Amino acid sequence: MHAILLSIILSLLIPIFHIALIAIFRKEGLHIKLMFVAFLLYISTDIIIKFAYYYDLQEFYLYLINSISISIFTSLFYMEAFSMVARGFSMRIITDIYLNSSLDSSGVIKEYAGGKGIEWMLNKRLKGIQSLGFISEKGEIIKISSKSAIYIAKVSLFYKSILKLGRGG
Amino acid sequence: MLLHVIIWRIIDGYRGITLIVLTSLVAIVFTYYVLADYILGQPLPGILMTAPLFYCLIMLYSHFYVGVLKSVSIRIIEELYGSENFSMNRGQIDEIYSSEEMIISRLMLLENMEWIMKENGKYKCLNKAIFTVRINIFLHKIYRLNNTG
Repeated sequence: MHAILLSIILSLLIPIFHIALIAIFRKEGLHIKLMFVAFLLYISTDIIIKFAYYYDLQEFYLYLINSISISIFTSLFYMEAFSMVARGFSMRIITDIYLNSSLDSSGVIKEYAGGKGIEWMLNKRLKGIQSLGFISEKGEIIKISSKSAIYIAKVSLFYKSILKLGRGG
Repeated sequence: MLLHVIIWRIIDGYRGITLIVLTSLVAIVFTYYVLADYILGQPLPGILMTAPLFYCLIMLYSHFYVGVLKSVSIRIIEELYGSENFSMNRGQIDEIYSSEEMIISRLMLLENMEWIMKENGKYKCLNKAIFTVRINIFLHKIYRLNNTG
């Protein structure tokens, strides 16, 4: 139980590492990569501490599996929270409404993301999957450019059909 | 997973994370007390000892579920996969993602959940939205986030 509590307490290191790395590198677009570096640092610290304090115990490997599970759990939780702050659609809408005091629906479309507009969001998503090599863009035409993208589409469509999830997105 | 598929095929309407967590908890209890103890006769280590591993697996699965269900990027890849020659033009993608429809449906959801209210045709933040936005703006500063959304 102590090992689990220690992993939870140590998870406070994730935002500390992340913010420190962002402050050190000061480069736009590195936030996600630095978040994974912060996870790696946290999980490594956690494992080192567990080896130092619990290695002699009989059920050490059970403690270690639990610690790694908790580390992954807290990392995923942090990833979700950071994603909401950095990419959250609803969060951005209420932030824009707050910053402009009040907005009608066309104002929300126009002022989305501090005045960049909703088209910017769609372009950002397209650039994201383009940078992963899943799609390519030639002029106006956007095309699937890797087998991985085809597998993703097949798995996703199959998953949605067995769970009756509709089209999603 | 089997229980998850059965419930999702039976129930329509709300099928969010809370239901996934409840389904997972039922599955854990079933695995421990019915499958391992009663049917197989091989008790597993204490439920509290293995709980973190279950939490971790539930979290991983929830990420996968929400990712597949909500991701705009995955939906675009699916639409491209379903199109002729796996390609589309910008106009066709804009048709799938009508910006107006996307914003209006989200505004209606926020209004129903009492995050915002409509007054004289304009939306205003309610108290819980103001509180959340202030925290959000503070986090933008400490994380040096300039392009959010």
